[in-house]
Amino acid sequence: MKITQRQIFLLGLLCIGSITYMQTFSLVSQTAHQHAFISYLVSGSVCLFALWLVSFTLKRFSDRNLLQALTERFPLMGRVLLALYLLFLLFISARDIRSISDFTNTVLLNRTPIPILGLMVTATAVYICQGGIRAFLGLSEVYIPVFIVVLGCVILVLARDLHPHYLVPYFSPDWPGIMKGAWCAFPYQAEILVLPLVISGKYFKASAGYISLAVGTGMMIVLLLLTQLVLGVPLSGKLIHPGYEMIRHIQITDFIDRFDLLLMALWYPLALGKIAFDLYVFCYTLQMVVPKLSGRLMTAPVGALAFACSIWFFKNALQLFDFNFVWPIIAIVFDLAFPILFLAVLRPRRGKPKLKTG
Amino acid sequence: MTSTHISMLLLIAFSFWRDKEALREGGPLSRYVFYTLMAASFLILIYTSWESAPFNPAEWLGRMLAPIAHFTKP
Repeated sequence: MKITQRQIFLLGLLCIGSITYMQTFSLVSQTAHQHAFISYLVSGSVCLFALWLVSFTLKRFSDRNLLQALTERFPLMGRVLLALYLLFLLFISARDIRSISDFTNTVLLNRTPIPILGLMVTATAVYICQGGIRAFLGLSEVYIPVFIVVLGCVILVLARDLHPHYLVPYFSPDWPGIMKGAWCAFPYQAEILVLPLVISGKYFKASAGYISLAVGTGMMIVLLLLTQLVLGVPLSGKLIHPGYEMIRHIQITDFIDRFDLLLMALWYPLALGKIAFDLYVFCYTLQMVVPKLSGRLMTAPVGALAFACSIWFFKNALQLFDFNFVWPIIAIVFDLAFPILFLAVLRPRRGKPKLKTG
Repeated sequence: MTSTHISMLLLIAFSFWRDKEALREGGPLSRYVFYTLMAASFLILIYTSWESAPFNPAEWLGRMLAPIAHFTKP
C-alpha cells in the first residue's frame, strides 16, 4: 500500500503525541523544573540522530523495510535480534495498556477495576489493529488535525490563567536536572523509530519523519509550558497526570464546566490508536521472525498477551511511574545502539562487475 | 478478579469464533501459536490473581538496573 509523506507525518505524531503527554510531564517537571522544555529539545535531538541513522540505512534498501532487509541479509542472527526486539515491543505495549488503564481508573471510571478497563482498551486496540495500516492512517487523519486545532484553542482559552512568574528564575538552568529530564523523555520520543521498521524504503521519506518529530516535540513543549504556567512547577512535578489537571482548568462559559471530557474524547482515540500501532508492529515483527505465521491472525492473541503482561509486569501506577527512571537503559539499547548496529552491518551487497561485451 | 477472568474468557471465545475461518486457512503453525498465546495469557492472568506475592518483572528489572542508572529518581 502506498503511503504518502503526509501520512508518515501523521503516523509519527500518533506514535509520539499521545501516551507521551500523559506519562512524561510529571517526570520532566520533577527533574528539570521550569526548564523542562529544554529536556524535550535535548532528547528530541538524540531521537533525530537515531532517526537519521535509521533513515540513512533504509535508503540502501529502496524496496524493503528494515525488518525485511535484516532478515534477508542475516537469516539467523537477524531473527535473534528481532526476537529481542519483540520483548521490547511487548514491554511497550504492556506499559501503554497499563498506563491508559490506570489513567482511566484515576480520572474517569473510579469504580471500574483496572483489569476490566485494560481488557476493554486492549479489545478496542485489537479491532483497530485488525484493520491494518489503513485503520491507523484513517484514525490519525481524523483526530490529529482536530487535536492540533484544539491545542491552539486551549492556548487562547487558558490565556487569562497563565502566570509567567511561575517560571522564575528564567535564566538559571539546572543542567544536570535537564539531562535527567531528557533521559526520562527519550524512550517516549524515540517511539517514532518504529516507522522505518515497518514502512518500505520506497515510501518512507526521512524528511516527513524529521518534521513529525519536530512538530510532536513542539506540541509537547507547548502543552508542558501551558501546564507549568497554569499549575506551577512544583505541582506539575507532584501530580501523576498534570496535563489532565491543566485541561480541567478550562472553563469556556458558566455552563460548560467539564470541557476536559470533550478534550479527553479527542485524545483517547489517539492513545488507543497508539496501542493498536504497538500491537501491529509486534505482529509484523513476529511474522518476520516466523515467516509461516499469519500476522493478522496473531493480533488477538498478541493483544491478550500484552494485556496479561500489563497486569503482571507492573504492581501499581506508582511502580509504573518510577520504572520510567530505569527504562531508558533498555530503550537506549533498542533505540540508539540498534540503529548504529543496523548502519554498520546493513550495507548494500556489491554486485559482480559487468564484463564489457562487444 | 473473577469478573476479569470471565470477561477474558468471553473475549477469547469471541476471538475464536470471529477468526475461525482464518484459523482454518492459516495453517497449523498459526493455529498452534494462536492457541498457545491465548492459553499463556489466561494462565498469566490466573497466576497474577491467585498468587499472593507474584514475581513482578518490572520491579525486578528496576532493582537490577538501578545501580547502572546514574539518573535515578530525584
